[in-house]
Amino acid sequence: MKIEVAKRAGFCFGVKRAVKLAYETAAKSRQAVCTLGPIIHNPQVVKDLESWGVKAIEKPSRVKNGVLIIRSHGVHPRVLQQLRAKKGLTIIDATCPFVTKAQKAAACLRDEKRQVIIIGEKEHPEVIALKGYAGRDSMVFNHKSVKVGPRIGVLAQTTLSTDDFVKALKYLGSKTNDIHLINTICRATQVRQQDTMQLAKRSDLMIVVGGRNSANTSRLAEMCRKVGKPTYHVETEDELKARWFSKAGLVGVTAGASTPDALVRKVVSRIRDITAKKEKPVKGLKVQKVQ
Amino acid sequence: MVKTKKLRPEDEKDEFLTEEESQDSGEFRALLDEYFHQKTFEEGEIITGRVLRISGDSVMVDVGLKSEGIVPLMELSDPESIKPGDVLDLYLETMENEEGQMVLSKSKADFIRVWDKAKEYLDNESQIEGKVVKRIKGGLIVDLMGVDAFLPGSQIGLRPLETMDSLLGQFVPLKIVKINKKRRNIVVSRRAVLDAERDKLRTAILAEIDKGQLREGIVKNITDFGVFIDLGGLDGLLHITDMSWGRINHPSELVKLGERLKVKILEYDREKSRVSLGLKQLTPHPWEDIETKFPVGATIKGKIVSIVDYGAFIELEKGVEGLIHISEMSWTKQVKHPSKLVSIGAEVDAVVLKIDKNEQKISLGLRQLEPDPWDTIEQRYPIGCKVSGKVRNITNFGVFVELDEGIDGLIHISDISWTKRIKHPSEVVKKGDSIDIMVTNIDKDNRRISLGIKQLEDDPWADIGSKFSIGQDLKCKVNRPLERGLLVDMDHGFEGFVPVSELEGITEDKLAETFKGGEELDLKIIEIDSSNRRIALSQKILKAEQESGEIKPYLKAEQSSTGTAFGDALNQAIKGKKEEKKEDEKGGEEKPEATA
Repeated sequence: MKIEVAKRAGFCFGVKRAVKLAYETAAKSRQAVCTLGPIIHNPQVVKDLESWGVKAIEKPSRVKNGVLIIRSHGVHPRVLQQLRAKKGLTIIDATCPFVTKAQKAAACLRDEKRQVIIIGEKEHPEVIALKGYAGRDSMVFNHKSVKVGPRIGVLAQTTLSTDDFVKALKYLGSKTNDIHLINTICRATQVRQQDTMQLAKRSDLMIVVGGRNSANTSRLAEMCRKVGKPTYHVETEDELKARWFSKAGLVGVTAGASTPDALVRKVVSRIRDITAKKEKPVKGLKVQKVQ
Repeated sequence: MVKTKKLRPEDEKDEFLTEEESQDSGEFRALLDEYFHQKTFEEGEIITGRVLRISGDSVMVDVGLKSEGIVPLMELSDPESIKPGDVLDLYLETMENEEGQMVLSKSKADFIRVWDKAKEYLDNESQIEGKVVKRIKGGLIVDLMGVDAFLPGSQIGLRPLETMDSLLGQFVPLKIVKINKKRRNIVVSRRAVLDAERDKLRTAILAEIDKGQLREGIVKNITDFGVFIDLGGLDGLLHITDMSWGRINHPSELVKLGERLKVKILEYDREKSRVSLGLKQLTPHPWEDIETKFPVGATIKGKIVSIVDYGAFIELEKGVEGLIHISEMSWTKQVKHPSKLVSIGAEVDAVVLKIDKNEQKISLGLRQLEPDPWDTIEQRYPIGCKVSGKVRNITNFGVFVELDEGIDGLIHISDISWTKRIKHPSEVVKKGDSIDIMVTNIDKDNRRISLGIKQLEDDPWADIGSKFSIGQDLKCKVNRPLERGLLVDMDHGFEGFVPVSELEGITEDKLAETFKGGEELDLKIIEIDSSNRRIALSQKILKAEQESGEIKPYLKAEQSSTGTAFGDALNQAIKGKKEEKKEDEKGGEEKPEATA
C-alpha cells in the first residue's frame, strides 16, 4: 500500500509565515505576547500557542504594552496607527505579503482618484482592513446590486475564486469602461483544490485532515466524494480507523488551509502504523518515505 | 667810398686833428685816396673790394692795390648771385700769402660788423630776427644780420618739429645764446623766445583760467588714454572718456597731432596747475531730450556697434546706444545668436520699444518693423481646422510641424494615435514629410500651437463598449515585449497590455527573450481604462478560469465564506439588472445559469 500527500496541501504561504512568526516571537519575547484575533482558524494551533503564552485578544484598545502580532489578514490602517502610537507596545506585522500587495494596490487606485471596488466578503477581516486603504468612497462588491461611479478601480479579496472574480468583472465592465484593475487574487486555494482533485482521481481512498468547522477543509472532502472516492474527514490522527484501509492500494492525504504540517505528518505516520500492523510486515522491510 | 676803420675804439678819433678838421680831412683824404690809389692797409682791417671775376672756387676782388685780393667762394652766403662789379666788405687776413696773394675774408668781415650788435643782444637778452637759410647736421643755419648763426636742433622749438624744412626761408624771432669771437660763431635759440612767450602766456593763463571756461588749444601729444593739449603756456589733459558721448577706441579717431581744438575746462587744480579738459561737454548731453529725438514706437536708423550673446547694440547717435534684445529680433525664429541676423557696422532700422532715461537704456526691436504673424494666428488657424504642414523636427515627446514661415506647432506624442502606444514619433513620421493635422489649441501668449493627427478621426474609445467588453476572451498577436509586460495587437487597431504578472510562468527579465512578437496568445480582457486609454488582458485569469472549470463539477454550492454562494448572489444581481450574458463555461454548473 502507498500513501501520497497532495502536493500543495495545508497551510498556504501567508499562514505558514504568520504562525512561524508567532512561535518565534513567543520563544524570544520576555514580554506578554498577544495576537489580534486568532492567528488562524484552527483550534489546535491556537491552543498550542496559548500554552506558549500567546493569547488571542479581540479588542486592540485593551492592549497597553508587550508584543502584539497582526495576523495574516492584515488590519485597518487606522487601527495600526493607534497601535503604533502606544509607546509600550511592540508591533509584529504578520500580514501576508499578498494581502500587503492588495493594500498597496488599493491605495494606489485611490490615489488615481478612482472609486475602489473590492470584490469579496464584506465581513471578512481581510476585506475590512483592505477597505481602510481604499478610501471613503470605496465599496465591497456583494450580491446586493451596486451603484458604481464612472471611474473605478478594481481589486479582489486574495482568497476569491477566479470564477467569481471574472463574473464580477464582467458585471462591472457592463457598467463602465473606465476601469483600472489590479489582480490581487492569491491562487493558493484553487491550486490546493486542483491538486486534491487530481490526487483523488488516482487514489482508492482519501483522508482529509482539518477542523470540521473549517469551510475549505469540508469543501475538499466534498470534492473527493464527488470524484467518487471513499473519503474520511479527520481532525486528528486519533480518529483514523484501521478498517478503512483494508482494500486500499493508494491512500491520498490532503489538508485544509488551516491545517498545520505537523498534524498532516502525524496522520501519515499513524496510517503507516495501522497498515503495517495489518500487513504484518516482514522484518527489515523498509518503510516507504512520505513524499 | 672807402672807409678805413680801425677796429680799435681808441682809434676812433684822430689825435692830431680837431673834430672839424678830422671831418674835413676825412672827406678830403678819401678823395685823395681814390685818386691816387695809394692805400695803406693793415692786416685785420676791413676794406672794400670790387668783384672782378670768379675763378673756380675763388672770387677775385680789386681793393685798389696793385695785387688783387682773393676771397673763397664758399664764404659768400649767396655764391650764385655774385657778379663782377659787386662791392663787398672784406676782412684783410694776410697781405701776401705764399703765392703772393692778398687773402680776404668775407665772413670775418661780416662777423666783425655784426659782433658788437650780437654782444649787445646777448647781454640784453633781447630778440632779434633771423632768416632760416639752410639745414645742416644738428640744426639750421640762420642769416643774422648778414652772418651765419647756428640754430641747434634742440633749440628750434618747444617740441621736436617733424620737419625743420617748414622754417626754411622764414624770418624767425631768435635770441642769441652764445657768441665766440675766436671761432666766430654765434649760437641762437628760437626756443628761448618761445619759452619766454610761453612763460608770459602761462602767467597770463594761470591768472585767468577757471573751471567751466572754453579755451582753444593745440593737440600736443596723443596717448592711449587721452590727449595732451597746449592751451598756450599750459598743458591740459583731455581724457578719452571726456572726448565723446559715444564710444571711441582710441583718441586718434577724433583728433590729430597739431590740431586746434576748442575744449572746456572741467577741473583746474591751482596748486599743481593741473588742468582737466573736456570735449564732449561742448555738446549737450545726448540723453537730455532723448524722448523727443527717439519717441517710443518710432522707426529709427542706427549702426550696429557691438554684438553680445543676448543681443546687439546699435548706435543711434554719438553717445546714444540702444539694445536690440535677441528676443526682439524675430517674431517666429528662435534666434540662436544675434550674429546670425546682424553684423557689426551694419546700418539697420529698428523700432524704439522703451526708453529708460535714468538708466540710459533704450530698448529696440527689429521684429516690430513687421506685423506679428501671431496676432492673426487665430483667424488663420482656427482651433479645429484641418491643415497640412511639413515635419521639421522630431523629438521623443512629439513632432514639430511647420505651418507657416517660422510658425511651428507641436504634435504631442499622445496626439498621434488614439490607440497605438507609440514609443517614438519617428515610428510614424519622417522629417520633411508633409502631413495632415488638426489645430487643437493655440496659446498666443506663449506662442504655442498644439496639433493633433488622431483628432482627424473620431475617437474609437468613445464607443469602446461596442468593441470590447471586460471578461471577453480573445486571441491576440504579440506586438512587442515592453518593460513590464506585453503589448498585443487587438482588433480595430487597438493595442492591449498584458502585465507580466498576468502571464503564466514568466518573469520580467525573461520577457524579451520569450516573446519576439507575432506569437498568438489566448487572453481575457480584464480591464478597460478609458481615462488612461488602456486595455489590460490576462492569460493567468483565463487559465485559472479553465482550471476551475475542471474542479467545478466536484464543488458543492456553499453558503459560507467565499465562492459559489457569491457567484450565485452575483447572478441574482445580474438577473436583477436584466443583463443578458451568455457565458460559455466549461463543465455544467450546479445550477442553471440565470437568464432573463
